[in-house]
Amino acid sequence: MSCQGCCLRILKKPALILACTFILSPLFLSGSIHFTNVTQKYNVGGYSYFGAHGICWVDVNSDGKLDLYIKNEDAKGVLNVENILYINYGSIFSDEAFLRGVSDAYPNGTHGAVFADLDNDKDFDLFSTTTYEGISPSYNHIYENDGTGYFQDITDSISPSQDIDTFSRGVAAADFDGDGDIDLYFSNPLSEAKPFSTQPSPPQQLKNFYLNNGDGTFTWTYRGIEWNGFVQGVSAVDIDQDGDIDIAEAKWAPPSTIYLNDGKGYFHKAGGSLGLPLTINVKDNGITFADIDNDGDLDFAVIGAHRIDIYKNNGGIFHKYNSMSTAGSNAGFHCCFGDFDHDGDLDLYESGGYFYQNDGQGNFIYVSLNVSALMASLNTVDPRSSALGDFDGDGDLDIYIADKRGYNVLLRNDIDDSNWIQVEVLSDQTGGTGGIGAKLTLYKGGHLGESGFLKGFREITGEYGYLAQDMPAAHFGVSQSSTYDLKIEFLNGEQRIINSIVPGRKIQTAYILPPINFTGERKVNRALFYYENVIQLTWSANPDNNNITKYRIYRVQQWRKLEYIDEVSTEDLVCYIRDTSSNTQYTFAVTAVDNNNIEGAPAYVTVE
Amino acid sequence: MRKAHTCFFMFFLFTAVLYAGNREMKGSRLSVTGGAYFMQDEVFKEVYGDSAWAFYGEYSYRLPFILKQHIEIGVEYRFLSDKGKLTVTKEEVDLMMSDITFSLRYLFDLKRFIPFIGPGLDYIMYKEKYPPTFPVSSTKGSVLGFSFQGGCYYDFSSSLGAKVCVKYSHAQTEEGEVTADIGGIGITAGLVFRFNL
Repeated sequence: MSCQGCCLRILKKPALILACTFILSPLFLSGSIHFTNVTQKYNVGGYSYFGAHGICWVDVNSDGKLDLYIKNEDAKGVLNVENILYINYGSIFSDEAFLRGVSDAYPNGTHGAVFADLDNDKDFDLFSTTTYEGISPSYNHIYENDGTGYFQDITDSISPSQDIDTFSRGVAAADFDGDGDIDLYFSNPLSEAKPFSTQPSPPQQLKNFYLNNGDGTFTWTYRGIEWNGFVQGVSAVDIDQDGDIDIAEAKWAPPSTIYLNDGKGYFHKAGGSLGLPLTINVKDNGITFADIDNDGDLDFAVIGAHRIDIYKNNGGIFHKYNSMSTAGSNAGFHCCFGDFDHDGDLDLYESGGYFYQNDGQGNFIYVSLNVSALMASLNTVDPRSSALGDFDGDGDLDIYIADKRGYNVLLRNDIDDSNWIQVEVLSDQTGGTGGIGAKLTLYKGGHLGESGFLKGFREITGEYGYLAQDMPAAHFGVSQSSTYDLKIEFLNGEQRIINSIVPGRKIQTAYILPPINFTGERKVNRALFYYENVIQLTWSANPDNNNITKYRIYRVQQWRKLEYIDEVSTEDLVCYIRDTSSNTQYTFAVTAVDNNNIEGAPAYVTVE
Repeated sequence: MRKAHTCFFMFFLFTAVLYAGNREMKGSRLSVTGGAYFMQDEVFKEVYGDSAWAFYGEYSYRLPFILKQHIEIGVEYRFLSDKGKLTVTKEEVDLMMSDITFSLRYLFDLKRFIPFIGPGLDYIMYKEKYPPTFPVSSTKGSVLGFSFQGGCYYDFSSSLGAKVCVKYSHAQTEEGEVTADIGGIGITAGLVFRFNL
C-alpha cells in the first residue's frame, strides 16, 4: 500500500478524487475497506423527525455488548426531543432511553454527552448537556448508573446549583486534577442562545468544570479555560505527554486551540506555542487526536469549513502536514481514526463523507466508492458525528453516523479476519472502569520499548472530535504472523505489561488486576449437632499487583450488578457465603483493593 | 427408648430394695477422676479432635448381701467441656456435656486390687454453642444411653484408694436433620475415698 500512497498523497479537489476513483480503484480492491449499511437490519435509524448530533458507543448494562446512545437536538419544530439509548440485544437494538432514565428530554435537546465512571463503581454514568435556545431551564444533567443500565438523575449533586442556562456543545471527562476521580468539562457555559458570532473582549471567565469531589458531589468551578467564542467539539487527551489530560477545542470565530493542564487541573492556553494556527473566523467543528504515523505521539486532525487539516506532532510541536476537502457540500463536522483494514495503521473516516486509507506514514489515500460501500455515508443529508465501536463483537471497527436531517446510519465493517487486538481497561488508577487517559503502546513481540517495532499507540478518551465517543477499548490492526507485547501506562504513571499477545483476541487489563485462581465450592459447614450449607470462595493474590491491603467480595446480580458482601484481609484469601440455596446458581466477584483504597477489576466465578 | 426407661426404673427399684434391707453391710466410695473421652462420631472428631477431657465424680455403694458382697452400685456425674472449630469456616464452637450414670458392678476382691466390671444407664445432657454468624445460636438436648465399664480399685488404706476405669457408652441423638453418635470410650483415673455411711 505504501507505493500506492506515494501516488496519491494530497487530494484536495473533488473532481480529482472522482477521477482517481475510477482509475485507481482496482488497486485497492483486495484487503481494503468495505462496509455494509445495516441500519434497517438492526433498527437503529433514529427518529423520523431526526435531530441527531452526537453518538456514544458504550456498554451501559455490562452485558458485554456495546450499546448506542444518540444525542438529539430539537428538530423540525419538535421540542423535548428524547435522546436514544439503543440497547444491543445481539440481533436487534431496542431504544430504552426513557425506560432506563436517560431520555434527557429537555426543550432544545442535547449536543455534548459523555459516559464515564463518575463514582468508580465500574459502570458507566452519563453526563449530558442541554442546549439553551431561549427556553429555560436548560441545565446540564448527571445520571448515575445503578450497574444494570438503569439511571438516576443526580444533577443535585452539583454545587453550587446551576442557575444559568447553557449553550453547551462538546464536553470532556477525565481526571483533570489527578485526585482519583473523573471530572467533567463543558463548553459554552453561557446563557445566550446561539452565540455563534460572539467574541467577548476580554474573554469571559465562566465556570465550566464540574470537579468530582469523590464523595458523590461535584463542584462547579472555573479552571482557566476562558470563553472567547463559540466552541463546537472538545477533545481531552495528554497532548504534551506530561501525564495529565489537556483539552483541545474546535471553535468557530476564534481559532481552535489547546489548553494545557498544569497537573492539578488548572489550564492555560497554549495553541499558538504548540504550532496551531492563529487564523480567525474559520469554523472548525471537530478536533481529533490520534497517532497517525505510528511514532508514539498524538497527531491531530481538525475539521470544518469544508476541509480536514492534518497536523503531525514533531517533538511536541504540531505542524500542518496535509489538507483534504470534505465530501460534497459537507462543511465537515467530525472525522475519526481507526484501523478499518487491519493493516497496522490508522485510517481516516470523515463523518458522512469518504474513507481514507493510511499508507503507514500518515498519508491518507482516498478509498473509492465501489469498494467501500460508501453510498450510505455519502447519502446522509446533514451528517454530524460518527463513532467507532465493534457492536457485533467480530473484532473490527463498525461505524455509526448521526444525521441531523435524515436517518442515522450503521455501517458494519465486513473485514473477516483475525488481524486485530482489542484492549479493554476494566479499571484504571481511579478504580473506575473505562480507562480514560490510559495510554496503550503495542510492540512486536520480544521488542517491548523499541521504537522501531512500535505497532500502534492509542490513548483512551471520552467524547472527542465533534460529540463522538468510541467504544471504551483500544483497537489495533496487526499482522497474524507475529505475537505482540503491550505496555499500558495509566494516568498516574504506573505501567502494566502484557507479553506475547496473539492476534484475534480481546485483552482485558486493569490498574489493579483481578485475583487469580478464583473458585467457588459448595460445602457443608458442620458442628456436632447442626450444619449449614455454605459456598467457599477461594482465590490467590495476583503476583502482578502491589500494595494490596484487602479484598472485596460481591454477589453478582442480574446484568452483572455487584452487591457487596464482605471484605477480607490479604491473609485470608477465602470467604464463606451463607444462607445459600442448594438448587440456585450463584455468581460471585472478588476485587483487590490497594493501600490508596483503589479497587481493581473483578474476577468472577459461577457456582452451579 | 421405652425399653431404656423400663430398665432404668427396674434397676433403681432393685437397688432401693437391697439398700433398705441391709444397712449394717454398707460400704461407700466417693471417687474423683478425670480422663479422656473418645467420642466415636466422625463429625466430633473433625470439629473437636479425637478426644475431649472429662471430669467425673461418683458415689458407689457395695451391696453387703449379694454374691458375698461382690456387687456395687454407683451414680456418677460426668462433665465434659471442649472448644472446637466448624468444619469449613473454622469458627469456634463450644460443647458442654453432662451425664448422670447409674451403674451396677461386679467386684473381684484380690486383696488391695479390686477389679470391677458392669453395665450402666446414662442420661446425657448436651449443649453446643455456635458463632453469631451461624444460623442458630445453640443446640440443647438430652438422650438416654447405655454403657459398659471395666476397671480396678486399688486401696492404699482403709479410706483412700485409686481407681482406673474404661467405659464404653452408646448413645445416639437426633437434632433436626443431624444424627450424632455421642457414645464412645472414656478412660479415666483418680482417687477414691472410702467411708461408711
